[in-house]
Amino acid sequence: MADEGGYDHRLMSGEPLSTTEAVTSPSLPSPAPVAGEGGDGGVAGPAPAGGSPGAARARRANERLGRRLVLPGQVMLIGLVTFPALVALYISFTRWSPSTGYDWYEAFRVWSWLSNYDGVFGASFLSAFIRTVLMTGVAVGLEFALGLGIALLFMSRFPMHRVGSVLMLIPMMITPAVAGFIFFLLLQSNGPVNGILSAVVPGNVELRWLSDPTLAPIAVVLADVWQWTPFMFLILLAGLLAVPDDQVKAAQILGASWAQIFRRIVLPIIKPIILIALILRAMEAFKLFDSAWLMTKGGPGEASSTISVKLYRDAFLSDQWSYVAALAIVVMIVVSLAAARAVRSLERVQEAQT
Amino acid sequence: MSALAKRRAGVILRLGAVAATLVVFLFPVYWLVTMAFKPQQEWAPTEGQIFWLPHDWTFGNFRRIFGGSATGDSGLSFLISTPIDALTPILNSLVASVGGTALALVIGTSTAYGISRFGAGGKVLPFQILQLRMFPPIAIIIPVLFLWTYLKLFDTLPGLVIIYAAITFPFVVWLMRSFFDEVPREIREAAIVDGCSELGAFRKAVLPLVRGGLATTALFVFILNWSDFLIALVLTSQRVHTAPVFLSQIQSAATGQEYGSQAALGLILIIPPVLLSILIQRHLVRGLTFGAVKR
Amino acid sequence: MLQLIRKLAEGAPSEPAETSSTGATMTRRGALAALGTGGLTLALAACGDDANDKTPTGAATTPAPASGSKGGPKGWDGAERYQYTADSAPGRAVEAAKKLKAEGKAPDTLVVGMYAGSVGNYTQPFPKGAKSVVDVWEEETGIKIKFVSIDPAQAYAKATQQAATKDGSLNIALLGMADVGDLAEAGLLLDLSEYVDRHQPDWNDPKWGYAGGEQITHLFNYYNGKPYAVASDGDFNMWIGRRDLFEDAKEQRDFKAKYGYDLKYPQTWSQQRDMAEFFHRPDQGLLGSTDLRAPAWGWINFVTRYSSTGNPVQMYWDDEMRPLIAGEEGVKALKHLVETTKFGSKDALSWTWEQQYANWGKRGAAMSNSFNNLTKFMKKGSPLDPKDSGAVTQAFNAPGWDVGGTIVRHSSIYFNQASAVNAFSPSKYHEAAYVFLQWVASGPIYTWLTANPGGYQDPCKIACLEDPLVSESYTPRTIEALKGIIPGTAPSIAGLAGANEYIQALDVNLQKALSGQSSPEKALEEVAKAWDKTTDKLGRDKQVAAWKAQRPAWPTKADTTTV
Repeated sequence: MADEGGYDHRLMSGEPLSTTEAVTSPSLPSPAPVAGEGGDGGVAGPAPAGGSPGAARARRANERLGRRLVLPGQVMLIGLVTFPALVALYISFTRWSPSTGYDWYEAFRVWSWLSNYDGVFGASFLSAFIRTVLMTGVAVGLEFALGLGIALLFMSRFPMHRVGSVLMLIPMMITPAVAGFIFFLLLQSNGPVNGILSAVVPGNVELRWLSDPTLAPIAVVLADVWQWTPFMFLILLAGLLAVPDDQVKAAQILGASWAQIFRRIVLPIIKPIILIALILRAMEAFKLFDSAWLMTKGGPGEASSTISVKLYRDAFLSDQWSYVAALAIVVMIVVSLAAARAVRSLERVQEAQT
Repeated sequence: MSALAKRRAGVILRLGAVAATLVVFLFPVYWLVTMAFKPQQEWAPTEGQIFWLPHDWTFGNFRRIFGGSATGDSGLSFLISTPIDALTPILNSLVASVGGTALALVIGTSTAYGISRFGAGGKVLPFQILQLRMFPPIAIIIPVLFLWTYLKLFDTLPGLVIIYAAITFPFVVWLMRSFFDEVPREIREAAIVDGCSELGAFRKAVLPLVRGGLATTALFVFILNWSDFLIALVLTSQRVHTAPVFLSQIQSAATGQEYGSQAALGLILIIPPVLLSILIQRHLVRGLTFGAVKR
Repeated sequence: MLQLIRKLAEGAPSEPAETSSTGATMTRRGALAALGTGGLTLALAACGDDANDKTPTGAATTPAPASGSKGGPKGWDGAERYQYTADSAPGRAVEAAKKLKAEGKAPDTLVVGMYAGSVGNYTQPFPKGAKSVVDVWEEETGIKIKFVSIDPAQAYAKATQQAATKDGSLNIALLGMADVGDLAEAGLLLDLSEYVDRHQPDWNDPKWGYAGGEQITHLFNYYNGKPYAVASDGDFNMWIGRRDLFEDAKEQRDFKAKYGYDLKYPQTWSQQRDMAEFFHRPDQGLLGSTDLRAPAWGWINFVTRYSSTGNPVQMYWDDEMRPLIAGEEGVKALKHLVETTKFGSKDALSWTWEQQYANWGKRGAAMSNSFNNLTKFMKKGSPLDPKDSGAVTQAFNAPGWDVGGTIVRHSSIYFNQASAVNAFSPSKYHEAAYVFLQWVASGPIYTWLTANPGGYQDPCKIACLEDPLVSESYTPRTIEALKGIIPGTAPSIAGLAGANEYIQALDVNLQKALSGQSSPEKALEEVAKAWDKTTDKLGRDKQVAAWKAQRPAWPTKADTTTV
């Protein structure tokens, strides 16, 4: 623990990380080595298949052990994905809510076929969906741009580098609900953000961050950008530090401009990392709830209502549980498709690397 | 000479940019910290005057959230109304986070080893596990609410522990898998040749090598659990409210939201993850990317 | 670290936790009771039902004057007003509680859900040096009370959650008046008919009953003709104005010169608009009118404007529950709400009563709507009232519209916390939970607790309006105004299954209109559409029946009360 999990002494002392240590080719959330006949699944893969009966027995024993090891995880998955999905699917075909007076499993008594799905493709959900995608896109885009900029800033040494990088990480570690509360305070129309703006811009700035339909989603995005730019920064910095110095130096000697070096040498090397960072961040941003809930509760109207906020509001504030179940099914399908795609594109990048 | 001056100017410029960035990113934290020490009159601006610094520093907000009176004996403390006690929610958060982390580690490590060593679950399992992490929790939480009710886990600490473990174990799987993948096969095989069983080899040869990774994973998962708001909001009622849920509910009869008391609790809430993140800084990138980026 | 902070909190002998030693004990106990969450309270009580015309009123339900053997608070001047005999509603409740306890049908501790801001009504000793409400109950019955705080914004979500999970951890559930239908349907609320018959609360007693009479009792406590809840609040949408502005000679001259009529507290919405405009001087820190518009809070200010667009009153639906809201009356009301937004805070769409109260305390507005407790909390020396705003606050009835020559004015009753017996809690304690509610919402006890500035439960019993302690606490001016306001009050959306779904649809679309995302006409059409959908989903016949059943709660004549 002291050695492995402790401080990174090099980063802490401001020394650039050695390039060999940093990543060159991320191992992706890619599927595990495939078990099977003769498969040599890399360093930790299954033992090579042998021809003797003893080896076959050992292999079978190992397979059994493997199955047993992953069993608890599979139970969790069934409990947390399969079961909820089936229940949601069932309820989505009814007009059940607690106020029907039935238990959820009795929902068949208020069967209503596809009536909830009418609403799913109605304007309200569609706009929440598009809004969430837009907010996610803008937030992640900004986080990437800012994170890259700051990472470039931290590329070379300067005094207090160590302290600076630790401080830079603080926003990311703050409980999202607390982050939402902080931005709720900051963005009051007579609050400090407008106070600062008033000092820099002529006139008295009184932007209604939390109650203007245009500004409210921006405010929620701002809080997200503040909290997660450090994430991009950290990951991109790791990627940038992995770029071999000699290549960059050689290009400099050959007279390449900074932009050329970045595009031709740096970018191809850090592309997989960028992709991973973007995908992971987009995944999380899409789920956004805590900070939006504390800042605007999705308002005004539904102007900053993300999918998660909408689902919560419709279920718990207006008792439309079966409709929410239908929405949840659609969200699960969309997310699964997106997840499959994301994993594929990551695999492709990885293959291209090797 | 001029080259030196130029370089110096460059360094100064860079330092300036770093400083400006830090100021921008730390200002919200500054606001939280100072708010926690401001008396009620300074929570919101008065006549357009914003309190950039507390004028009258006070510990009243901290006293308030631990059952004391914020105003002391002013004779009007009754107006601030009902005493609140954040200690229990904080303890609930702590127990649920630690318990959830421990359980997630057991299940996740086992699954990760099964995948990494034996390729169990094939191609599908790791993907399914990742998928769980991608679903918005709200989409699965309502059926879980029914399940928890049926199992009598609703609004109990064990219920919270299990759901936290379930939500965070994918993370453990991916992270630990990346650590296991790094353990040279020879080490395990040598242990087996020495007479260890598979599990024995795991315990004696593999586990010691990934201890650091395990510790990192644990701290990471703890931070994730500690930060939860939505799950506790839905799956607990009053017996085991966690601190973030409690934070959103602090309210007084006469004034409604109490920014100072909320900030005081918020400050307490952010201390553990910030400190822990410094501890695991070395593995931060790997953790944040589900083990995809190793460093 | 935590221990350190804990010590700090307990610490500092120089700053005792409370003002008196009794206070300190109470506080500590309250804190323990609230363990886990925050505490809150609710109140209320139940009282008898004479809707069944069993024993209406009469000497039997009216506490006799104080004498030696009375129950209730003791030992301070005026305590006798809140004492009761064994044959009164609170007396019967206490006797029943003792009997239940002796038979093992009462728990050691009843667990009661309560708004954080109401717990003080029960746990703060009041008046100074006296016992608290729950102390008296615990002494008389031996049954302890533990309050569990609930955030008002989360209350309905919590109740739904309890219904969905059949969570019986609270003996007494907390709800708002709009929630009764849904929660009764969901099985969370116990049908109280049997206990009401047996213990005879004073709900309709002419002295101790609910202000507003039987119809209001019905709206508060009944659904589908059966009692399910015990209301313990009086959220009449009151208006307030600043006397130092409205009664200032120079302001009056200037106003008359500009608008051609006298400056008085507004009688009509168009006057209210003019006056809001007149006083709106943001550069001097004065806002014209800060009636709320935030999500979950502001819809009532549409409802109040809407109810008075018809003579005698404008309803939400016709007899077949076809929405009337998108008609010209609704549009007129919403246009007014939208137009006058500019005379409030720039943050009007996110201001809840919290910001509104704080601003009022700084003398930051000329008019506002408010809960009745504003003047209870605006007391000189309070951190909430740095400028002694309470002294210059005048309460008045909501303005109205000129409908065919009559000025129709209706306040609205909304939100209004209530308690109910949680049907999922252990059934052998149901009756004990009910008798606590009957006791605490009985005229004498409720009057005593509502005067207590420790919480925000407001007067809703007739006796509250005649009580010197309440009057002192709320200020005589506010109590006088309330007496005029309450009789003409129109219901908000309540007494129906799906009430919250209706309210949400209204709320969200009002927000869209207020923030310019939608026109008033379009927004109200969306509301009407959503309402119809909900009605059809829940069963139109059933909904129509419930809607017709609440007719008696609606005013039958135009309220023309002037301040």
